[in-house]
Amino acid sequence: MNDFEQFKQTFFDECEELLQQFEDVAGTLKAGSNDPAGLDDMFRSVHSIKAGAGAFKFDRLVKFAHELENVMDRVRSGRMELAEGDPEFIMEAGDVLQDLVAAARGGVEAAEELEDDALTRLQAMLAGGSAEAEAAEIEKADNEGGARDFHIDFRPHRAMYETANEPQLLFHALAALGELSAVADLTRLPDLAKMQPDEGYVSWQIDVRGAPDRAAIEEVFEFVDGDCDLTIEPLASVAASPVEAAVEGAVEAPDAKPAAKAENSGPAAVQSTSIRVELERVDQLVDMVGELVIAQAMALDSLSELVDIRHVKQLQALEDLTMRTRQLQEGVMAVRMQPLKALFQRFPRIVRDLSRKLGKSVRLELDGEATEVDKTIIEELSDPLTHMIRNCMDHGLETPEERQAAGKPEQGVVRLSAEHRNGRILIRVSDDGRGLNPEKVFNKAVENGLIDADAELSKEEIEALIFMPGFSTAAEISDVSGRGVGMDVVRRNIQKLGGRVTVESNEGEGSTFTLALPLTLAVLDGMLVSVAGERYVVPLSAIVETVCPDPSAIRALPDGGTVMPLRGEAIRLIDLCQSMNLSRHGQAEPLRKLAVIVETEFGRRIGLVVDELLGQQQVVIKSLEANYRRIEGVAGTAILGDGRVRLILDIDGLAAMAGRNSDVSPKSGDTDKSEEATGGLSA
Amino acid sequence: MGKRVLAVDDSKTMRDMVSFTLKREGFDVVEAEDGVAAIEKSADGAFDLVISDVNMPRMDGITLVGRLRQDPKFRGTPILILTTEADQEKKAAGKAAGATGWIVKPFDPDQLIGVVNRVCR
Repeated sequence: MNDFEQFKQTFFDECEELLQQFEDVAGTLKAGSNDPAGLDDMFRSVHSIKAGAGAFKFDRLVKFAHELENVMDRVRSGRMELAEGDPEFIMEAGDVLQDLVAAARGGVEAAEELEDDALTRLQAMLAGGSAEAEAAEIEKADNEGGARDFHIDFRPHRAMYETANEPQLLFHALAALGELSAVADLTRLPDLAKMQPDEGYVSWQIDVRGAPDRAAIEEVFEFVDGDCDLTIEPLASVAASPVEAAVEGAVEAPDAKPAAKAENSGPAAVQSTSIRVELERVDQLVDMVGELVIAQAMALDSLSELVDIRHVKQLQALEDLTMRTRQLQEGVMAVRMQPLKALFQRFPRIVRDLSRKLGKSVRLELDGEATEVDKTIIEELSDPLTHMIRNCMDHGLETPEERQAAGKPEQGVVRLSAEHRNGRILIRVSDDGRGLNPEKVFNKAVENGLIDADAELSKEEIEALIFMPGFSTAAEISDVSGRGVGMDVVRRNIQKLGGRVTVESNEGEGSTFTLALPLTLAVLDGMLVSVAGERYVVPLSAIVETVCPDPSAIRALPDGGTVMPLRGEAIRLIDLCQSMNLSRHGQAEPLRKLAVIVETEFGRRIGLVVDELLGQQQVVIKSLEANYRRIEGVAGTAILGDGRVRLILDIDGLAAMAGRNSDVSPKSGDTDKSEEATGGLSA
Repeated sequence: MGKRVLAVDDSKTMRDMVSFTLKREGFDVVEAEDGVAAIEKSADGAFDLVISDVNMPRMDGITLVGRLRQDPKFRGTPILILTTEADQEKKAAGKAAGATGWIVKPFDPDQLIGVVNRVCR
């Protein structure tokens, strides 16, 4: 068992960074000359991977990294120039390297032919490069016929001492090989007054008996080769007068190093600007802080009756505790935050590959890479974003001919940006392509049976149809964006993260998809509402406004539902009391109920009818699915200050429940399907 | 009091491995992630041994060796560079800059200790 096994995890974590670094630069490589700093980075990445892989004996990885490293070394030192096609190849070689690392990590043997082609090409590049082809070192057979006893003539130069090599250590090493005897030649030693401390005045005649072989002796002198006159001969060939004087004195010579160092050698202080921590530990911390927030809220709740001038000190202390708790929570959450850069950096590559495949010239613009988002969210964003970018390039952008005809520059632009706004992350994917044609989208939706032909939809509602399952406008299904299993999956993934995705499009000018995501999955800003004595949390992000509807303006629908007018729009009302099957136990309904106007993923507005608004509160999300099972209309749970578990409402789920018998879009029946996967906040 | 070692490498894996091996042998290990960081740490005091990688950002190992040798504190300090396989060029360059010797990567704990014992007592 290799003692280094324990470092494997670190190694693989590091590999990820190194591979990313490699790929980042690889994506910018071009034929001819390149940025030297970038090439240095690439070289070092491969070099470090190789070095680590060697320690763990990942032989195939080492071999491949070695060749790639050699190529990168020549490129960076200017001994090799990248030819046409080489940059693409180096990127592919990076992929192979990545696959080999993945195989090593998974403890599996990668397919035999995985690296063969790339390896051959790397070797060809090296062979075709400068004349400095790797000369294979052929080990010379020991022509001394297995001699074990050697005589050594050793005359150190000044240079040997200057590199801090010490004869006594060499004697130690020789003594470990066999029986040692040595005679010092002090004849060149000058008077003390003339002595230069660094000069090599002393030389030695040494005999070693019973050494394994000549190579072992040469190894001892490996570091001083060139800094001394050294001859090593089999003892038999030397005039047979064995060296008499043992060099015990020299060997046992007291340590000449100054003792003054002692005061400086305190315990090793390992300083680093960052540490690696297992995610599990961070999550435990997040959980604990979540519990703390709940405990603090409970304390606040139970002590709220203290609101009295007599207890001003206690209240102040409580206030302070509240603030600190919040700060602590934010601090802990921040540990899970990572910049989006790592995620965004994948896209230049994808765009480049895809633009070649599609025959479209595309420029990718990135903005806001430094924006920090929860790690889990970043991980979950990879697929949806990839899909959206592919979608933009495949369906959004026109062919070069079409663009020319439309008077647009031939090169299309796809833009990916991120920013923090109002405690949420906004990520936008936009293109300057053809945009959505509302008529086409509408007809397609009718054709696919998603809506009725006579449905009256606003432009926004029509655009939102592209997120419906089974919707696809591409006349021909390409292997790039697939079969219309796209945007609905994107939407579902984003919803799982507690986010929303919307699209804005102008025909002929392009489309912009906006993802609005929570900063973290663990807490949610909610509005506490009460209905028939029960309390619920409505995600604040969904709330548009709260109104007090005029009972006389509420109209009944044939399906039993009700609508209220709001600035010329009919808003469907959902009575939470009904939806949640609550009983008022004979208590009278409040005279004037409130309608919390919320917006669904489709941009549709509905009114949740509640008795009372109790206030805004940040809650720690607890998954209902993980602890119980999924309930329609409920996104998760939260423990509030009174110590009771409250349900967090799933707006889309509620809208779907209420819209089931409705003729308001989306069409009934399909609604079930489309809303099925909503909700389910995880934490 | 254990001997003080300055381990310089931009790869955390390498630093960890060097560190682990030497600490087990009773050394006190101070880590630095590149030449610049090593120079900063060398300002705090002397070391009994320096082990440095060659290829590093900001300041490479060869330059570091040269700089340390200029520092009177490090005049007699063994300095080992970490090189790969038969990179004679690097060994020679390291030597010319004042390196005491080299450790060839990859190494196992015994090899590392073996080399360290050859230059440091």
